[in-house]
Amino acid sequence: MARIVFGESVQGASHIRSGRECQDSLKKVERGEDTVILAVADGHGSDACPYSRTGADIAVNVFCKIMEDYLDTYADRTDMLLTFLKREGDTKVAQAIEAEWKRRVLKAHANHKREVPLDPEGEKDSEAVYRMYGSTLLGLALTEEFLFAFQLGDGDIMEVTGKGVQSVIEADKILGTETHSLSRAEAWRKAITCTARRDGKRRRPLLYMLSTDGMANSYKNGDEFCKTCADYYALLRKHGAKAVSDSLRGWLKETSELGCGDDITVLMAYYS
Amino acid sequence: MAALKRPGGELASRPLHFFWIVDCSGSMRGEKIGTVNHAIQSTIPEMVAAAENNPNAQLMIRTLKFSTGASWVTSSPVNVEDFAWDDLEADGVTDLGKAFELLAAQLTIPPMSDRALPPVLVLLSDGQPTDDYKKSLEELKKLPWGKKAVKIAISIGQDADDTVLEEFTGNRELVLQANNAAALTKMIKWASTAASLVSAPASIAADEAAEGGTGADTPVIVSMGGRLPDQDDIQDGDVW
Repeated sequence: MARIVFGESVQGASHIRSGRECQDSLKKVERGEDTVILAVADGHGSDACPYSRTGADIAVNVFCKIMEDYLDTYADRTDMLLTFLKREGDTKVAQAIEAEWKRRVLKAHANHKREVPLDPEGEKDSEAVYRMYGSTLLGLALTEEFLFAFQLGDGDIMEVTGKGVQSVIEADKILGTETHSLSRAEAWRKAITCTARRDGKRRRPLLYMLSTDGMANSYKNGDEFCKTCADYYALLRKHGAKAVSDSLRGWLKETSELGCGDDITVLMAYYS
Repeated sequence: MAALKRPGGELASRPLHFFWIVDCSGSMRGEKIGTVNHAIQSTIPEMVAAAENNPNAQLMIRTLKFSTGASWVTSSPVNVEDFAWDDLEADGVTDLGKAFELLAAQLTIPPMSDRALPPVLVLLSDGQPTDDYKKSLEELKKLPWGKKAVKIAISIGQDADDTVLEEFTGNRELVLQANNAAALTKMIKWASTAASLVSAPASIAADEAAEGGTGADTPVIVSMGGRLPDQDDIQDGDVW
């Protein structure tokens, strides 16, 4: 097969010690031979965000659903879709993602019959509900003609070829444990996006790799993280996707144990 | 086929830098500096134990003293397992600005790493700065890690300038009052536990942290799961 998409999400070593669930989530949607949509999300996990795993699940579902809707709406009009994503990616698209995530969060909260905090005026405080589900979101839509990358919060979207490793999208890094979040008011303003034309038939082999920040934070520095991306690519070329996929879970657990201890999620699309 | 070896570069836990910044001016002489020496010494085993429980953070400790001038007691960061407290002596004036200058030099990137956990700065003082501290404090707070650091101050005795300490912490609740030896010991012990709170890798929404957590006046350490010490129960009795 020319393309294989696989990934794993593991509970971080420190989460295991403290009995906290894994708050990462991943999703992939493969639409025939041509198109794949990838998303990973990292629920914040702080005490203020007790339902952030749900928030992360909602985030990946929302990205995939909205991208599918765009692809359906602009079927056979790829150039128009590319123009739209390029022009409106970090505005209308980001706004749509934020709005849908918040709509689903309120629905999930109601479905679970969870208490809604009240604001100082005694009104239902939706913002406080969103905070309980806080999550980041990384997304990548790949067609034969173009890619669209979306990032709100920390994490990495990398592209690896025989020529080297590069970020698909350069997000601003916030020091420490802080991150941008879908849960904040006007979260879309912190989203960054990237569109690029691609010729899916050329530049192969090629690897796209989405990872939550637990992955990069487990390495000594950015160079070591890039070396890791290159190593995965080399292993895929040498041993094939199944061998890597079969081992990935164990590797990520080990990475968390010997690294930063956070949950780690990696989702890869490999074009052989 | 034999199991594949994990690919990738060098793994590492995240460094967490913890700074004791101690006023060693003449007014600290006697019981105050004695209590500081004894209390910080006594926190070491607990900090070692906390660090052992979290191998994914590498806790490094340093001590900075200031009186007439300022200087590092430990010239470079020391792993908590290897950290030993050298008793400090008190004499001279209160050159807090000099201490902020030295601190700022160590909070720049490099030598700090951008993947570190937020550093913890614990300032202990019983008086008023005798130098122009404002400029160097501003410089310190402009640094990326200066902004993100968890800043705690322990105000020792009735003559301490809480306004200055609040300028440092950015939050009144993180200026802990210690009006006698028992209170000082308690506050030092509490401050030492900040390292284990910061070492948990839970994320915080950036704007939330900027606002100080769940409310505008809530210290960020509270949103990290911490609880501020009760300041009322041990302030009775002898007062400095």
